[in-house]
Amino acid sequence: METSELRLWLKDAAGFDGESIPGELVPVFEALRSKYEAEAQKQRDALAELAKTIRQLREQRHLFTLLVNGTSDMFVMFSAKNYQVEYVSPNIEYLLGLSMEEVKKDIRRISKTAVQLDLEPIAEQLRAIPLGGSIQILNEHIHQRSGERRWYQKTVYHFFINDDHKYILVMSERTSEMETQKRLEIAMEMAESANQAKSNFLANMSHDIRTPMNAIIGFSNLINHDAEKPVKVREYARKIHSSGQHLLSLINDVLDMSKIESGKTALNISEFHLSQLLEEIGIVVNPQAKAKKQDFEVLAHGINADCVIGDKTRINQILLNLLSNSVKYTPEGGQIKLIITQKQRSGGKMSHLRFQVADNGMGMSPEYLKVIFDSFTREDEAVSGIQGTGLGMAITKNLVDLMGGVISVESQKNQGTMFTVDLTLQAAETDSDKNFWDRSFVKRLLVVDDEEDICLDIEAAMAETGVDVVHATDGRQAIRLAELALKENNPYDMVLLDWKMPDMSGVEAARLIKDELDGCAPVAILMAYDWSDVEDEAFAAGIDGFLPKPFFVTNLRAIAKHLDSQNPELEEQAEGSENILSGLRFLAAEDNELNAEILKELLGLEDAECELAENGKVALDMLMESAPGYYDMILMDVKMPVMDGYTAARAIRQCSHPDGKTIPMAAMTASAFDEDVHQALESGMDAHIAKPVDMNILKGTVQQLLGNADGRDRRE
Amino acid sequence: MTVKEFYAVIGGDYEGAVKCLGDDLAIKKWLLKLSADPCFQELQDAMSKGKQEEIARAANTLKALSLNLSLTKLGQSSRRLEDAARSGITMETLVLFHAVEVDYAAVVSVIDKMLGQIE
Repeated sequence: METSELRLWLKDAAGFDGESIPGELVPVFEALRSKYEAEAQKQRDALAELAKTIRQLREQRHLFTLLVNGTSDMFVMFSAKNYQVEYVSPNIEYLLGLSMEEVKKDIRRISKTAVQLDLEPIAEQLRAIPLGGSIQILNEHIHQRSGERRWYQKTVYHFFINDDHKYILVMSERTSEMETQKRLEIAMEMAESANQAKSNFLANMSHDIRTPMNAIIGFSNLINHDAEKPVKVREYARKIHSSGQHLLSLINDVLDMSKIESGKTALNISEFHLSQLLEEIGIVVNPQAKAKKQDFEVLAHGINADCVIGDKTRINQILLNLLSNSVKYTPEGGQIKLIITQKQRSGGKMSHLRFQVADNGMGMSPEYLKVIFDSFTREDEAVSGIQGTGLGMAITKNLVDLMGGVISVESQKNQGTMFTVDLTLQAAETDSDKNFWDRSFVKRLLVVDDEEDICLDIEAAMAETGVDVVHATDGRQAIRLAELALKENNPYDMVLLDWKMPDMSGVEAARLIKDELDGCAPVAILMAYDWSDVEDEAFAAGIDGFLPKPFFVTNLRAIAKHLDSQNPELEEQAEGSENILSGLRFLAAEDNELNAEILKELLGLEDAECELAENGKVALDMLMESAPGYYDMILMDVKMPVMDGYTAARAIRQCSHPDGKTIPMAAMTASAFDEDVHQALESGMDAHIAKPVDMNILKGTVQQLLGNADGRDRRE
Repeated sequence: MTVKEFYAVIGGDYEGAVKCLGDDLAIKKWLLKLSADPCFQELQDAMSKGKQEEIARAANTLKALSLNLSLTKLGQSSRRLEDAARSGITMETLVLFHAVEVDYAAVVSVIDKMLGQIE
């Protein structure tokens, strides 16, 4: 460096007046300057390096923050000496609802959010962690803002960082894993329980199958042995038949259950009368109850819609299942009741019905009640000596569910049981009921029963008929009322008398009414059971008819109609308009002669002609040989030999006959699943009619199809 | 035995029968013809020959006939046999045929009783 430059540098760098330096000291100052410059450069380099390190550290920290915030793991670093928190990941607020400040103040704040406080690590446990080691705790924590519970796997590490012992707490969320594990455990339990139930079932089933099979084989052998003794042979045959029946019921139960569970059961909806349903149930159950000297009673309350729309067969199956269990599990002399209540009839057409089956039999344990509707379960104590598959209740419940209903049960051991089935059925159109009562001779009705509830139920049931109903609760009161009505020139048109009353029997009351009151109205007896034994006595007393209990308007109507044979206006008009089938000619393909004959006769009753073909090929030939317009419609059975219905339909649609493409065709099958309808339409048919053929449905279909046939009225 | 009682005993639908076939007299007429109808014999023949399709068809015919006459139980057992036979001839088919046999025999014997042909 030049001396002048050195002097300037000295002035700048050190504030020293370089002009005063003697010439001989310049080299010294030069050396000092070099050294200084070198040192300064070193420092500048170090600073630059430091700045770089700080930048890198900042970037790393930024990245770390990003990572920490984006993860569901939380990190906390705290001193092993005084538990002072040195770092808390910011996501603790989001994950635990705790602020960083709260945690920095006191690390124990985290532990206080735990559900099981006794699982949280204490100081001794932390001190026991070796350097580089860790401990793990799984616990549920409560989010401090939302109250939500979450599972965390907590790991505490022991490290030596910056010359100090530190603990690093890492909390990793495990909520979904825990929930999955719980679901798996429940599923395992259910599977084990189902397996156990199935094993029990198979064990029982094995016994239940072997028992009747042994009987069948045993008695078959005896038949061989006693072949020359017809009486014994008949007895053995009877027992073989009974065992066979039982085996079949086992198999049917299993098959039914299998079909229900695979979703292949469809309801068969049609109109039916509740009174008819109860009568049929009575015919089956009465003898069973009578055999065990049990008192079986059927009661109905508030029923004003006798005709409903639903699956009568399945409802029958449900009630018979419950009642047969009642008979089975109620000892001799016990009581069984079937109670039907119409809970409400909403403004529309729906009828809410409650069916209750109650008994005072052996009842069921609380443990069994919990699983009663599960498959393959039976009450342990009741198994011995009482046969069954353990599927009956499961089938019953599934059928109720299928109908959109609800089934429940109350029971107490040795006290009895009550099953309740709630169903909602559509009430069928009953315009003709009102018309009937308007034209009927019955305008005033006197009802006599010592149970006032029954009288009130009858009044409620008759409410919409327009008939004036008055009641009495004993025979003498009834006679007084009848006398008074006669005096007032407003006599009763009919009297219903309960068979058994405390003061006098229904027959006695009827005799008095008939004897003392001139020109008295017809008298019918209300009876809960078979009246064939008392018929003679009753008719001798002047009784005009019998009415079964519980009371239904339908049954009264039947009697009224029967009694009023003098009034031709009571002949029921045919429902619906003109007979749409009259004059039509059908070609019906049906391979079974009897089925074909039935169809022909039913059509004949409607003044329609029907020509029969025994299979699809014959039907096709008959059409081909006919003149155009000869047949108005084809009814095609599906399953036939030689040529089935679908093939025949396709052939007809492709044939050269002028009517081939347009003649209305309907498939007739006993199934009504969507696939059957679909196949019928795919093959060229216009409609699908389920067997057995309902004439009203056929009329509706014909009307629709003939109306659609290019607007032409095909009838002449 | 009345027609109504007949239906209750054999597991049928009396109301359905009345709706479909008319009064008791008409129903009795058709029930009488059932005994003479060859449908059950055809099913038996098909079973003895082991012809799957014929079994299914015969079971279907018997099912349809049962439904026409509202013989619910016989219809159900025929349906089960038809469904099983569609999949082939197995032990299940044999057992279900036996069920149909029993139900058919029950119907025929009760028909005879009702019509007074057997005491």
